Amino acid sequence: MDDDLKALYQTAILDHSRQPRNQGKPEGCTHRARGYNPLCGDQITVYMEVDGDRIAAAGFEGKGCALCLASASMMTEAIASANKATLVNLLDDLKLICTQEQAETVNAPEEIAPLLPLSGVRAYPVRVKCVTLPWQTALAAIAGEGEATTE
Amino acid sequence: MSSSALARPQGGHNAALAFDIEAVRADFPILTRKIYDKPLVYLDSAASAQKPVQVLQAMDRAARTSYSNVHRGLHRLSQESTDLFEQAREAARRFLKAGKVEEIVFTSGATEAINLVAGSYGQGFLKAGDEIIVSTLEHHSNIVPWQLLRDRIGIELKVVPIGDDGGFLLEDYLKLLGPRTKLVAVAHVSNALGTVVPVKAVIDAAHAQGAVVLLDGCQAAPHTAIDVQDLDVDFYTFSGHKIYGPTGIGVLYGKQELLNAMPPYQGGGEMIRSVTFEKTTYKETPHRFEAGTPQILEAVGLEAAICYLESLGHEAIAAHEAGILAYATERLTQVPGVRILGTAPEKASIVSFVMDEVHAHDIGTIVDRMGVAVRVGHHCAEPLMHRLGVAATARASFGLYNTREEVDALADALVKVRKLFA
Repeated sequence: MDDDLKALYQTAILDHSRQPRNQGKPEGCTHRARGYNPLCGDQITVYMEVDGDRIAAAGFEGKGCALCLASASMMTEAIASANKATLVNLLDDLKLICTQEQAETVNAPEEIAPLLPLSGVRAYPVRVKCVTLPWQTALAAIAGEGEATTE
Repeated sequence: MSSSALARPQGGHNAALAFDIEAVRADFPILTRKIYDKPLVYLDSAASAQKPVQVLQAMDRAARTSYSNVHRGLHRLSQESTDLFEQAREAARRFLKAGKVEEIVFTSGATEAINLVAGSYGQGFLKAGDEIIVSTLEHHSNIVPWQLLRDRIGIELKVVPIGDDGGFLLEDYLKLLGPRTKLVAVAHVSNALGTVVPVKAVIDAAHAQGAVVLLDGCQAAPHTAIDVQDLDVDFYTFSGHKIYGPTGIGVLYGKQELLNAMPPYQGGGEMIRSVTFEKTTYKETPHRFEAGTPQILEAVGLEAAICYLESLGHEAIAAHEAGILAYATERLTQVPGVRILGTAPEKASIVSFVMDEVHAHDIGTIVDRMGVAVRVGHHCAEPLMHRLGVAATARASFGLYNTREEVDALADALVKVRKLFA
């Protein structure tokens, strides 16, 4: 198996995609949005309980490829108890680590660490949208937009 | 076509059904490419087929020696280009076994051809309450133009269901036909599943109701001989790039009396007889529907592709692909977790499949790293995907240059996908 493939489908990704964390709608859900990637048919709904500036809980459900599901699962862990600004910063950071070899100028070095396995997608530019879709959907939810698409 | 690629008919009928696959492959320069240091295994010809050197050279030669605009100049190059362009039209007529060269309209592809029929025939002759029948198998390009027409003039769209094996349900189609049916637009062969639609029966039943029929022949043209007169079809279309020709050109066949009765689709140069600000009159078909400078070099390439297919022979191509399809069906069925979608008795060499717990997109990425190019996604047939209950499939489509070894490469790659996700 080639090294790029091993880097992409590493254990953490496979684990999160097979057993996604925080599936379903949190009880106190206040915001939700649907995300769609027309390229491959990834379709997810992100739910959040937002209390003022703070994301109290996050969950998701949907169908998608391993990268999309793993990213969604990791996201729900990363943003639970975070504030809205952190979500925005993390998406910026995620885009950096998924597209650039030397991404030293991340906003949130501590929070991004658990998301580093997603950076294996760097060798597969057409798949970056699979990784960012859940995050864009979460931002759409907070903005009250209801829908997000990778196009 | 290099003569070496052809096994000359010798003796019995079966001898004519073979061609030298290695010589054929040598005609396609791209097949020597390496993808991530692996030999390219190109199994995406249903999306777009690779081009033989005969096509590339014909286009290059025309551009270097005979190129100019067509039907315009008095000068020598314009005459030569016009001759080449009209010679390509004759090749397309021959390819479809149409009765007259005037029945061959060049378009940018099948998509434009269908939009032309919807915009011209549909808008010209249909009215609110009329019904158009399509099937669940359709590519978006044979759905959306009719929806646009529906939004403009209020026709109704009826959809023929399919069986669980992806087969066209003829009995259900016959029930949908009625006095309000004015047009039937179906695929000759499904792009996503490879199902061959019983088009002769479809056409005969439609005509009995007085409806006209358009066949989307994109996936039939590379695989089977087409005879529009025998079918008695009213409109037939295919795209050049799916029959090993260039992109940007396609053919719309239409019965001459229909085409001449239809209003123009686009206005511009070349399609007019005379223009004044008060009144413009139009040429007859095919020029009526070819506004502007047409796809001149692409037409030359299309003719070369048609000649290439003719030199191999449709029977030989069909026999080769039937062998590959049977082998691929057998090999893929053996891969643990793989389920083939589309198992109708009559199929072209297209195999759509899903794998338990592995999304098609992950399959596509992983096999690509092993040099294997397949299409993954909804194949521009979302209603079909909904019917099958999947968001996406992986699709291996086989052309005249594919081999059993390439099927093995796909099957081996799928076993590795399975292992990675196990």
